Amino acid sequence: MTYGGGDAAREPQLDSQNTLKPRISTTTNQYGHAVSRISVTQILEATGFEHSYRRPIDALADVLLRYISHVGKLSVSYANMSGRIQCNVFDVILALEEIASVHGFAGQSDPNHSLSSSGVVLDLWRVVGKEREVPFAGSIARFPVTRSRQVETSQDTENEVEWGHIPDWLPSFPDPSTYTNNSVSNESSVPRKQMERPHFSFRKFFSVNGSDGLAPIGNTNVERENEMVQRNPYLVPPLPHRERQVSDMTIPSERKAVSVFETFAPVIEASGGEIVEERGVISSKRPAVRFRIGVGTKSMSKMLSLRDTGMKEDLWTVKEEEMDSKKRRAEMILKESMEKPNELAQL
Amino acid sequence: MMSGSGNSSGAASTAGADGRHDDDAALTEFLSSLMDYTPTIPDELVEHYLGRSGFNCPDLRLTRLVAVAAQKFISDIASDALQHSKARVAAPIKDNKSKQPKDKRLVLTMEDLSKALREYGVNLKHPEYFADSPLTGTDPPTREE
Repeated sequence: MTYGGGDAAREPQLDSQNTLKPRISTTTNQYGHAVSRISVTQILEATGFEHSYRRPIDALADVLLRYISHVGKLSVSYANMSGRIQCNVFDVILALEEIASVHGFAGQSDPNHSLSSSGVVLDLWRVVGKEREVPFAGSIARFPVTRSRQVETSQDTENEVEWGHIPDWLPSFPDPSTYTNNSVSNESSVPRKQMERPHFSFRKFFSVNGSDGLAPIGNTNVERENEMVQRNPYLVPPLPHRERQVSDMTIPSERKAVSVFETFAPVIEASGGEIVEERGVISSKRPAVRFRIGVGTKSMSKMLSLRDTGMKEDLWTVKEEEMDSKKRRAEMILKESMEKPNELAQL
Repeated sequence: MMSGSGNSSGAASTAGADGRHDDDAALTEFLSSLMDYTPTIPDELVEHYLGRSGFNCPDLRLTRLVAVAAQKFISDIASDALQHSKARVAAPIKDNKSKQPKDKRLVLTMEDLSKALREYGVNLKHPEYFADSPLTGTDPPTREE
């Protein structure tokens, strides 16, 4: 069924088949529009019309609905201006007067006219008293009909306590055993599907002395905790003083000419080379660890060339043919230290 | 009723108070008579569209009042349209050669309705013809655009 544009507000729209259709959008509007069309037809019949086209009836039905909405809106605005949210009979009369002011009614010119005896009320009284009563054909139910929905709960509602101040659409509270501080193990009461609790509590694990005020939850095996502590060496409590004997460190008090021989005595022994000077027996004390910092790197070729030219007098004469690589390295170190005796202090 | 309206502007007097009391009594009587009268427009329809506008009143008499007011409004428009259609039927035919009798049926047309609604501030425009596209009938330059 195609319609032309009835009034300016009803704009035609193109549907899928490119036919113009009036915009009667929602289902509630369609129902209300249909009911008002029946009422308008009855009023037209009571007025004296015998026949009518479809479009004028639709237009009048739309006008009727707009009129009712307009009266309601005006009444609400008058009530709000008086500081009320519920409408009064006088709010309705004022709204009807405002609509009728376009056409005019009796007593409109008097600004102080009583609302109870306003012209609109008199006109309506005339309608009620004199005109033939034409009731609506058929009966309709209250609309729109709201369907009662089942509220779906997000969790099981086995042990649900009905709280009056908490709405139903909020998720239910967790199991009370999960947040109570009972010392009795509550594993049996907690269902398996819930999150598994750890075997030990972290607070208990890291607190050595005393309790932190929180009782352990679930099975807390003290022996198991101690075992875990002993397994991890970093979590072992520190030893008291002088419990374990550690050898003392020998720190040289002053800088003196360090004898290279003494320092590298074990290396020399390992090399097995001829030693020109023989010093005393190596002390039983642990030699101090010396780190080489900031030593200039020298290439092997340079070292060898220096040795070949014989620029410096070696303290030891070593037979190169008899040494293996390990001894040769030791020799290199020795040579290096010999060539730069000043740097020894930096060792 | 006229005495009530005249006394409301003056100083408060026993006559004025009585007048106002009469007015209120009349209104109360009118509202109670509304419950005996069943308007053509059903209460459910009026309640729904009043509720959509924010009208909140549990009193059924006010709903009936609005229903009666709407019924009177539509019946006024219908009677005006009837007058227009009667005038059209009663108008003399210019073409005397036509032998067809005038159609004496009273039919509500869009033309009569739009004339009647114009007096009430409602602009109802009915297209005179149907076109294939919305641009039909427009000027050629605009159509080309």
